[in-house]
Amino acid sequence: MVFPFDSIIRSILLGSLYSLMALGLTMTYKTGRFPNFAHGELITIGAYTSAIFSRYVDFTYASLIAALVSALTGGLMYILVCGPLLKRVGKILFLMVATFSLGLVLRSLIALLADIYGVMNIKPLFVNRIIISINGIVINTLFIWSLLASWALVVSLHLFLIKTKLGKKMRAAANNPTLASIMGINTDRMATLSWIFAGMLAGVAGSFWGALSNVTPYVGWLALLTFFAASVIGGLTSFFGTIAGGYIIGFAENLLMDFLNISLGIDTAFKPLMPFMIIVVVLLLRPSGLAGISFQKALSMIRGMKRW
Amino acid sequence: MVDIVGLISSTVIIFSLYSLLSLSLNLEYGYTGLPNFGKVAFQAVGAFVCGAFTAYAISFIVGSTASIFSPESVQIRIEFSKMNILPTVTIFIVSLIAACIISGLFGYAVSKPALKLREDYLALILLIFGEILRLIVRNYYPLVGGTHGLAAIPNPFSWSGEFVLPLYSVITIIVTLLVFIFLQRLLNSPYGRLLKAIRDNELASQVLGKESVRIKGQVLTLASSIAGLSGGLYAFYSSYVVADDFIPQKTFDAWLIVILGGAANNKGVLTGALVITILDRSIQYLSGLVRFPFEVNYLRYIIMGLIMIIILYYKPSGMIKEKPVKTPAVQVLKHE
Repeated sequence: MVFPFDSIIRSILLGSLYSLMALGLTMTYKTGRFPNFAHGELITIGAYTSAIFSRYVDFTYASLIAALVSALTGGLMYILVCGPLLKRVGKILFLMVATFSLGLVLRSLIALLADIYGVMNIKPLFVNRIIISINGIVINTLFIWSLLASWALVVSLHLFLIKTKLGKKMRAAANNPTLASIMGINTDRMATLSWIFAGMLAGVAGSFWGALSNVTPYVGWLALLTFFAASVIGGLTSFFGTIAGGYIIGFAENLLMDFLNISLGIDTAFKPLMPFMIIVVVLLLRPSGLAGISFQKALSMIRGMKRW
Repeated sequence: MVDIVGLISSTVIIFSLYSLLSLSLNLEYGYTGLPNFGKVAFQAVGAFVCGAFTAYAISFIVGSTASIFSPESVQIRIEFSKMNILPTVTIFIVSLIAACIISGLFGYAVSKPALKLREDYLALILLIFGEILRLIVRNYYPLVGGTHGLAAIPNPFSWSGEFVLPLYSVITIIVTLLVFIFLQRLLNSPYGRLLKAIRDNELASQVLGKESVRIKGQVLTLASSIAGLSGGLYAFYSSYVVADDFIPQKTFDAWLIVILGGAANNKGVLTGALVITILDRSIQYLSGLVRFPFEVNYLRYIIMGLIMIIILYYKPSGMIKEKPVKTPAVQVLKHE
């Protein structure tokens, strides 16, 4: 009996990677209230960096280098393009178009370089050992590592945002830039920091993503709309909503899809439709996603239902 | 010896296709403020309709029972279009009209739920709509052959031998001019002013009793049918449709033309289309002369993306600025 367990393991693995990617998207969205369509390219850059460096150093270090490079790219994206544009034009639509073009430029640049050096489709050197194997249910190192890494990152990011002064400043700048700048917080610097963190998360996610599938110039772009769904479930603003969204997408895309494939015979080629449908449904029914739901309210609602 | 006629006519066709798509985007984004990031979907609908309709119609007329994707059907279509002038042209015209209508219906269907959303969500949902459509068509074989596509959609002028492209370019440029004149007439009227009012301040226009959601729906429907027209013309030009042709990069091309040329100014959009066509062609021409160690399309997208970012930063109003609506009332004011 492989079906549910196999899919569940894959769902958890992909869900944790999606939540890493989507968290970065949510963080950048909060800095300027515009979705960053170039976020996928941060993942591609991470994937390529780790795939190339894993030939020379251990995969762990390669991932760290990937995180650094992606973080740097994320910061530069804000400093060079989005920040100035936000100050000068300030129209959300223009920012969206600009990030879209930025993504296109980076994607084509990566593809151009990859074409020259003949690395259009590579794999990082990663020894994927089997740790547990019971009746065909396989838990391997990749699963453990990506789960550990994503949770370590999420928890430390959460602690950083909640406990440290800098984290508090960042949250203040994201929630109300005007008020924050009155209080003497350099909102621009905080926004740059958010983009750097977003790049870092994307770099780590991209590094594992590359080990999971292959690395091509389009990995990030192909994943973009999928983890957008996770962010949309979180209302594009909520930290925990986004993490939950990542897992929801992971499970919908794997467990639910496999279930539909086995029970109804729907072709797995329609797999990417799942996150798209989720985006459509969430946006049409509840555009604020999980962000608007207050935990207390939900609890009291459930209690009320019980009594009734 | 360079084929001058072929070069000019293919340039004219590409210019017309770019212009049609960008004019329809300009109607949505420039005049009404609808951020349509899924423009390519409506073009795709037109192309699919034209491709499938033509193929099925010819199979029906000839009485062939073979699948429209089989090599013999391809042969039948090529032979048929060379021999029968009148049916081919009729099929061409009918399928273009069908493409317009069906794309318009798609636009209307999408507008119903989507237009209640905020600007960024609307853009996202239209982008997603385009991808959903592409994905479904890609994995649904009977319409246009899934990933393999549908080949040999006969050009309406196949019978004319070497004059296929020149004749076709005349048709496309005439269609483009007609659409341009129609849009100029439509938008230099109180209706055009109404669209701009909705774009600039939706709440105020609602206060004045304008049903903004309904009017935006009309705009999306009309613009989608124009996009469908461009898709249909594209299908007959390339004589091959496949779902993976209609990727979001095409939407980006239209956006670049509109923003480069000048939003809410149709003449600006035509200028922008001309610039991009020339850029496109010269990169293509250059790739014939110099052997690049990479695919030229990447270079094209890098240049286009950089142009877009620079334009957005330094001159967001585009090459030709928006002008006031030329209704008769404005002209009377000018004369006094």
